[in-house]
Amino acid sequence: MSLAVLAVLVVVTLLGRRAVASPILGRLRALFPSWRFFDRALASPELLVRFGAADALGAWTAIDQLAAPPGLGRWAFAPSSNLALAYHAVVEQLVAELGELELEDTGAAGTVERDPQVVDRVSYELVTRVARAHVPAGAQFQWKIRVPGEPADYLLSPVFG
Amino acid sequence: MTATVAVAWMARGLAVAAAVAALELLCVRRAFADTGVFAWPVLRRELAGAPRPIRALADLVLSSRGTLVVLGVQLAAALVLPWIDHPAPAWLVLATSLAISMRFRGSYNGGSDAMLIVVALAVALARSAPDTPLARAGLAYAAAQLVLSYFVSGVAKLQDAAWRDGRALPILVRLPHYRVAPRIAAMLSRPAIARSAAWLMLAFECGAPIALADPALCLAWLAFGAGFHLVNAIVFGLDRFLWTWLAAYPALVFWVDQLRG
Repeated sequence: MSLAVLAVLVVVTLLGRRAVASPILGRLRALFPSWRFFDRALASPELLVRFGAADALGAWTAIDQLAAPPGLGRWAFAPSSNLALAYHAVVEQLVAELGELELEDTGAAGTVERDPQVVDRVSYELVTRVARAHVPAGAQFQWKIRVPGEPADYLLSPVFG
Repeated sequence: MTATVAVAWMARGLAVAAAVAALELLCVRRAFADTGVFAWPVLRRELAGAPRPIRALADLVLSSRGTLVVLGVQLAAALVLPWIDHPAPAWLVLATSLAISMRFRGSYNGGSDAMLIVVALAVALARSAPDTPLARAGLAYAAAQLVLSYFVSGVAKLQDAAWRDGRALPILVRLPHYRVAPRIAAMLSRPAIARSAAWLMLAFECGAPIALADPALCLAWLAFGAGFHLVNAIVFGLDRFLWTWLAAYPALVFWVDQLRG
């Protein structure tokens, strides 16, 4: 019986995998691990923020540069490092979702995204909250996502208060 | 190694892994408060199509306060796991780990969440029906997932030219979200080191089935694996992968002993 379990697992795991579109079913994906760690060595999307007063928002800075440097003990216990990875997963998720959409070309680079298909998404709201978590309380801020290999910024938010 | 000893060691490993996972999230609880990044009022919008009882249950368990309770239960269950043989703590770790994964849209920490669930299920089954085929099946499940986790990952990497020619590691160590120390990043970016390290990793991961061949080989391979995870934890901060994978190791030792001993 045990060997049969093993054989079934091998077959199931090696079968082709399909992305699950349903967010409800997607929440159960920890039950079906893919184990394909780092299978593509690619640079990944990056979230940048700028903040300050509305008419002087300052320079764009990657959120990872705004975080405190990791401590020496992170090999054993790493709450902030793992939170940073969870933030990054949010950004990757938004980029993946937008890649599935058929959006109209908004024209010039640097245009603030206002398409409801984009800005009404939960992932968009989460990215806004990630950006907010990296700016001083009460500051106005704007975020953008840069995708390696793309000449222009991938997504630009309006200024949030 | 007997099944009883294997399960006892897995329970100790699971206790550490589950406690670390719970404590790490409790340390950053502001992130899942209603004003934080992972606010439940935002995340629950994705459950709009779910049946009403499921939404009501999710609101109860996965709200900010509910999540704190879930993490408290996970921590308490982890702390008692090594000390009592009753299956309840293992089932609680399984349930709370699954709840936390669902809370964070399927996963908070990628594959480590999945392996935590695998190990918790194996220990829960083994303790629910000790000395039965079900207990052995639980251990077989964990052992199989352990071997697959390396083998599938290795084969997937092997298909990418960047891994084969040594370009992959320099790319990965410069990904800003891993915050790799600049000195280590520079060292791993040297072409000779990057290529050697990549092929060592590929050989180790693709060679996972070798561990099934012989108990001594299995122990040597697992020792290398522990070192591999320790290096990943130091370089990339992937601490949870170290704890959860170590927790699964006794299942493989048990099964290789059964098959070849």
